[in-house]
Amino acid sequence: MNILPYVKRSANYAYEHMTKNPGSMFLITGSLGWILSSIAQVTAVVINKKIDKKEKKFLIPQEIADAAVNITSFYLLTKNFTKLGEHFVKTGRLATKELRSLYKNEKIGEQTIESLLGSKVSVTKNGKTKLKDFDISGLKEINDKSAIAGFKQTLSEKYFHFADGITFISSIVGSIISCSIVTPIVRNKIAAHFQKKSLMKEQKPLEPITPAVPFQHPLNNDNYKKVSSVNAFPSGSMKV
Amino acid sequence: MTITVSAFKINNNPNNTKCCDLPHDLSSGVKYNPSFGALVKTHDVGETTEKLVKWFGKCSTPMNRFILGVAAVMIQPWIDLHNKDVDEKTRKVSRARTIAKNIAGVATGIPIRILCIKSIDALTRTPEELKRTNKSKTSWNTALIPDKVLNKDTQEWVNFTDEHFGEALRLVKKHREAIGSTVALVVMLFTNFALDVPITKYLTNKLIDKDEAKNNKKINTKGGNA
Repeated sequence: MNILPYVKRSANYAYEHMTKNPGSMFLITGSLGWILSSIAQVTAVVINKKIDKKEKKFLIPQEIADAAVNITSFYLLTKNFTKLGEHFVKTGRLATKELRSLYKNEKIGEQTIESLLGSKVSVTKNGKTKLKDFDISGLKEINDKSAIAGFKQTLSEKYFHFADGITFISSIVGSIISCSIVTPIVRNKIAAHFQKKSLMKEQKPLEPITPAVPFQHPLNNDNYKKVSSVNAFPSGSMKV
Repeated sequence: MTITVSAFKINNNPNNTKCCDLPHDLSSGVKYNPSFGALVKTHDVGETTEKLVKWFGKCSTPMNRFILGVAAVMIQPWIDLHNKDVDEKTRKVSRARTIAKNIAGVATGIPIRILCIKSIDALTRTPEELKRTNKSKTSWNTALIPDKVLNKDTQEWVNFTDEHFGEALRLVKKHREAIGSTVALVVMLFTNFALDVPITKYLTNKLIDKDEAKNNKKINTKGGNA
């Protein structure tokens, strides 16, 4: 059986639904990965007989919270750190000396790359300047012919190597802050809360002290006379 | 002439024909060329930093996993051990499990990623890569490259001229990442339970034993002194 056509069909499907839309694809696969890993780790805790029940009451919610907090903090922190790194490169806030000199001196037709990309800067409706003046991919939007020259292997490689490096570093910094600092602190707080709650539930409530003879309510004079201790020790003619 | 508008310096260049939309307060006939140098405070990285940044740029996903794993083993157990909300024994068990889980994650995650990358690379060879390596071409070499990018019969790029070759390569790279993350997820479905669970359990117990032995030794030493 030739499976090649099926592989090709899967590749075409992946291209249409995942490559073209990497954002949602990574959101789904990333979140599913964390959830799967969390389920496996919960299993590891449950089947471990060496861990006491009391510790399990902490470790199981800890692992579940780990997945939930990791997913949240990834999208709140890591992604924004990565975006910040990309923003620094795209706007030219961070560059190499060589790259900056190329932008200033290399010409596409009559204009330098700097002036071509500079013309891409626009002002948004709320008056904010949208900085896009160092992003090499912006050359394609300006003019196709310019893009051909602009995407020359040297310039393209120099820009993308630097951009990839900055993106990688910023994503690593973001990941360490979110996954190794924020997540453990938050997940521990959540797990401790659940452990406390579960332990309190498990503690047997104190049995109410019941008197040998149940009180007769309302404790009026007639009922009082019925209480055994009163009958056992009659006071004779003495009025109580 | 230089005009300064809200912290940005903008050069007035009347010869510049390609001018962008102007801010509302400057729209009265002023033309400018807001080049990157004039717009924002910039920083050129030094030579050593540049080399380091470029090295990081070439780092693969397994290296990413390794760095994050090392950071996790160094930081997370410390946080667990200083968790004041639980008793000391829970803290120690939690620390042991965190160390075990992260070591197991790195030990299985890196080889899986390498295997996934290698196999996907083998199935997404570009014609140029095949020419360079002088390897015999089979239809499996380009099996995972979509038909909209590479014509499967002629083995030529679709919609990409020679000048846009760099773009085609970046698209193939993106496609490899997309397939890679999906394949890794499917593989993880099995390895998480088949490898991570037993390794984590084994290492956790070893660490708990080690901790208990250390504690007993401490008690014995104290008892002897007393």
